[in-house]
Amino acid sequence: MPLASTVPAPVHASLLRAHALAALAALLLSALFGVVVALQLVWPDLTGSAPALGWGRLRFAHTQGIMLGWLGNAFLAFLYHAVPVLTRRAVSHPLLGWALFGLWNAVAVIPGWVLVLAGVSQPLEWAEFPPVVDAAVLVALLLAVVQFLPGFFRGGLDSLYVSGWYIVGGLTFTLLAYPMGNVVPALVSGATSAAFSGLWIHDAVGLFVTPLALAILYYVIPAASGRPIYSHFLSMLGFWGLFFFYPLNGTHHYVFSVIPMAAQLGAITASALLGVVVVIVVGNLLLSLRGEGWLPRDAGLRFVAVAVVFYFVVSMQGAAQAQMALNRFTHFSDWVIGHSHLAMLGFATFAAIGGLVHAWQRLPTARYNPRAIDAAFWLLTLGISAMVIDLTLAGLVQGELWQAATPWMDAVRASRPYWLLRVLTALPIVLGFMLLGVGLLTGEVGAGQARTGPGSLTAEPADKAAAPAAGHGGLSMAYVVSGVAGVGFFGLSLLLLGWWPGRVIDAEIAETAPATRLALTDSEQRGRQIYAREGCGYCHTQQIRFLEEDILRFGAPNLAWEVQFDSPHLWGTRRIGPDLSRQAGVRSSDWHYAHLFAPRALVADSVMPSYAALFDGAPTRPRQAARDLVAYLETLGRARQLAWPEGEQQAQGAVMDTHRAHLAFSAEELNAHPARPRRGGTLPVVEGVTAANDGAALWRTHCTGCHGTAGRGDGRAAAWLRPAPANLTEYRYTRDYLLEVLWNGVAGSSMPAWRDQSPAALLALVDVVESLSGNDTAPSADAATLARGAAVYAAHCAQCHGEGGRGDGFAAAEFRMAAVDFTRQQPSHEQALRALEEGVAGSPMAPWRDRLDAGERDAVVHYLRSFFATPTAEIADAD
Amino acid sequence: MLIDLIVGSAVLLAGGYCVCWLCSPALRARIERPKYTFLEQVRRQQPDPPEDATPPRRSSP
Repeated sequence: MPLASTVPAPVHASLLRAHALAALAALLLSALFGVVVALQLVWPDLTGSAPALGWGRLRFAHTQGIMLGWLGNAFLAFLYHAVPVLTRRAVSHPLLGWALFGLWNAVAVIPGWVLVLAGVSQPLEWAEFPPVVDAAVLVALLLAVVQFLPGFFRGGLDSLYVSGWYIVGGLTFTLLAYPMGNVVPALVSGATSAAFSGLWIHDAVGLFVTPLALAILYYVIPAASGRPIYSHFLSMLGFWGLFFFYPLNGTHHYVFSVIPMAAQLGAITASALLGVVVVIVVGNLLLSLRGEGWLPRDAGLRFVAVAVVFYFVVSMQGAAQAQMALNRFTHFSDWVIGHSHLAMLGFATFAAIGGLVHAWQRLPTARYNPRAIDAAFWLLTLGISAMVIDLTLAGLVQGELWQAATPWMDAVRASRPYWLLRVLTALPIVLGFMLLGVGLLTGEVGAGQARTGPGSLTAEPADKAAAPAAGHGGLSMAYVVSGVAGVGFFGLSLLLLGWWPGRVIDAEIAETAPATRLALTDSEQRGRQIYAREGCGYCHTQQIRFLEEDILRFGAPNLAWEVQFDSPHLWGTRRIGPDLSRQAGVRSSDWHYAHLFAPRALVADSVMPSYAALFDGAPTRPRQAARDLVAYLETLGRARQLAWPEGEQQAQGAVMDTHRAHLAFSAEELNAHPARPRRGGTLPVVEGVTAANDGAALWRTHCTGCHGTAGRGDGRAAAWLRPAPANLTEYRYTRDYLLEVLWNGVAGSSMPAWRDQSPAALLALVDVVESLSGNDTAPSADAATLARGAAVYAAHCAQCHGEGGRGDGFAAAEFRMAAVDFTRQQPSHEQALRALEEGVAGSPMAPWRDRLDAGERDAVVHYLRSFFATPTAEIADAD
Repeated sequence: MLIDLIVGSAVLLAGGYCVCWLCSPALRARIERPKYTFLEQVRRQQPDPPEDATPPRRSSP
C-alpha cells in the first residue's frame, strides 16, 4: 500500500547501517590490498612467493573490492536513505533488503575475494571475480531493482527528481551492462572480446559508479544546503547526455589497435562530447553550491563539493586522454592508473562518503564524531590529490621514455621514486578511511542530527512545490519513451562498438588469416590460464599498437587473426613490463624459468614478483605449472612467424586500411620481436660513436646476474642456465664479435639481444668485456704439435667449426646455436681443454675425453687457438 | 560515418530538448518543479523515523 506523500516514508535504518558498516569494512580491506600492491612495486619480494599474495591476485581483490565491496555497499546504504525521500514511499520490503545484503556481501564480495586470491578468476579488467560470483552479483542487482525502483514508477515522471533518474538509470543499465562486460568477453574471442571488454571498462564507471555518485551529489547539495539545485533542466540535459555518451566511450581503451578505426574514432568523438556534457553537469552543480563557500560547514556537503571538483578534473582528463595525440603518449602508463584512482577514490569515493555521512547524520540513534570526520576529510583530500598528481607525473615520465626508445628498464627505474611516493600518499588515505570509521562509530548518539541544523531548509512557494498528480496505475507513455530511449542508447553502444566491429574483424580475418594455424596444446592452454589468473596481463600487454614507437620496440602490430582464438582476450591496458606479443623465441626456456623463480637475478631492477611456488626449490626443477606457463609464452607471436612469408603476403593484400597496412608490413624483420637472438645479421652503425662513460654501471646492471661481478660466469643465475654463461676472463674476443653478440644475442643460449641499448652503451660494454679478459697468452706450440692438431681438427672438428675455424662447418647450419668461430673468440688453453674434455652442457659440443687421447686434445687446442688473429675489420671507438 | 551518427544524434537530441525548453514556458516550469518538490519532501523527512518497516499511521483522513 503506497504511503501518502504528506508523511515521512520509513527509512530502514538497520539495513542502511548494515550496508554502511559493510562498506567501511570493504573499504579498509580493499585499501589494504591496494597498499600491498603499491608496496610490491617498490619491494617486489615483500610477500615472498605466496601465490595468494601475488601482485596480480591482490590487484584483482583491490579493484573489485573497491567497486563492489566499498562503493556497492555505500551506494546501497545511501539508497535506503534517499529512495523513501525521492519516491515518498518505503522501499519494497525489509526482508528483500536483508536478502540483498546477504547476497551482495556473503555470496558475492567475500567469496569473490577468497576465490581470486585462491587463483579462481577471469582476466577481464573490472570483471575479475569469477563467473559464479558474477551470477550472484546479477541476482543481487535484480533484487536491488525490485527493492528500490518500484516507487519511482508510481509517482509520475513530472515529479521525478534528477537523483531519481540517476538511480533508475544506474541500477537498470548496470543490470544490462554487467553481463555484457563480465560474460560476453569470455564467450567471444580476440579483438571482439576486447571490444566488449572495453565497453564494460567504461560502463562500470559510466553506468554504475557515475550515475549513483551523481544521484548522491544532486541529492546532498540541496538537502544539506536547503536550497534547490540551480537548474533541473540542465541536470536532465546532463543526465541524458551522460547516458548517451558514456556507453559509446568504451573503445577508447584500445586506440591504435586492430579494432576498426571507425569504431575507435567514434569512441574518441563520444569521449570529447562527454567532456562537454560534464561541463554542463559540473557547472550546474557548482552553481547549486553557491553560497556554501569553498569549504561547506556541513561535513557531507563538504565531501560532495570536493567530489564535484574531482569529477570535473577526471572527466576533462578522460576526454583529453582519449584523443590520439595524448593517448599514444599516456596510454599503458601510470597516468591511466592516476586517472582510475581519481575516478574511483576521488570522485566516486568522496560522493559515497558524502552520501553516507549525510544519511548517517540523520539516523536518530547513530553515533557521530565530527572531529574524526573533519580529520578524515583533510587526510583523504590531501592523500588522494597527492597520489593522483604523483601517478600522473609518473605516467608522463614513462610516456616520454617509451617514446624516446630508451631501454625498457630505464622507465621502470625512473618510475621507482614515484611508486615510493605513491606508497607514502597511501598512508594519509588509509588513515583517513580509518578515521571515517571512527567518525561514524564513535561520538555521541544523535550528534550528527544536532549538526544538520533543524529548520534549515528554504521555504519555497507553494505553487512551485506543489505535489504532482496522483500516481499512475501503470506505466505512462513518458516512462515507456524514456525507457526505450535509455535502452536504445545502451543498445546503440553494443551495436556500434561491439557487434559491428566484430563483423568487420571477422571479415578481415577471413581475408587475412593463413589457411592453417597451430592451436594451443593442452599444456599451452593451461599456461594461458596461469598467465591469466596471476594477472600477468596487468603488467604485460599483448597489444602492439599501430604506432612506430611500439613497432620498433616490440615488433609488428597484432593483426586480428593472430588473436582470433584468444578467449577471453589478454590485451591488457597497462605496461610495467614489456609487451609480450612477440615473445616466442626471444628467451630460452632456462631464462624464463630463472626469471620466474628469481626475476632480479636476471634483470637487476625488475619489479616482477617471484613465482618460486611454480618450482620445486630451484629453477632447474620446474613443476608442470611452470612448464605450462613457459610453453604458453613460447606461443606468443608464433602463429605470425609460422605464417611468414606466404601468410604475410596474403594478409598484406587483404588489409584495407592503407596506413595500418604500411605499419604492419613495412619491414620483414619486424615479424618477430626485435630483440630475438639471431645468428648473424646486420650490426648497428658505430662509426663516429663514442663509448658511453657508464660502462661499469651498465655491466653491473645488465650482465652480472649471469656473468658475475668479475665476469667469471658465476652470477647468481649462472647455475640455472644451460649453456652456462661464458667465463669472460677465459676468452679473448674481437670487438666486432662482441658488438655482434651484444646486438644479436647468442641464439640457442640465454644471452639476449640488447637492441634496446644505444650504440654508445654497447661500445662501453665491449670495452668492459675486453678489460675482463685474462686470456692474454699467445699460442706457442711447435710446428709438430700444430700439425698433429690440424689433423685431429680436420678429422673431428671441422664439420662444425669449419676448416678455417670460422664456425661455418657444414653441420653447424643445423644447430640452433652457432659453432664457435675461433677466428673471433679465443678461449684460454685451459678453457678450451676443459670444453673438449667435458663438452659444453646445453650446446651441441660433446665431450671428447674418451675419443681423443691427451696428446691429441692438447694438440688440437693449440691448433684451434692459432686461428685467432687481430681482425682486419676491427670496430674502433672514435677516440 | 559513425562519428556523423554520434554527433548528429547528440545535436538532434540536445537541440530538440533545448528548443522545447525555450519555446514552452509551461514546460520550463514543469521541468523545474521536481527540484522544489524534492526539497519539500526532504523537509518532511527530517528527522528520519528511527526504524523500521511499519509505516506510520496517517493522522488525518
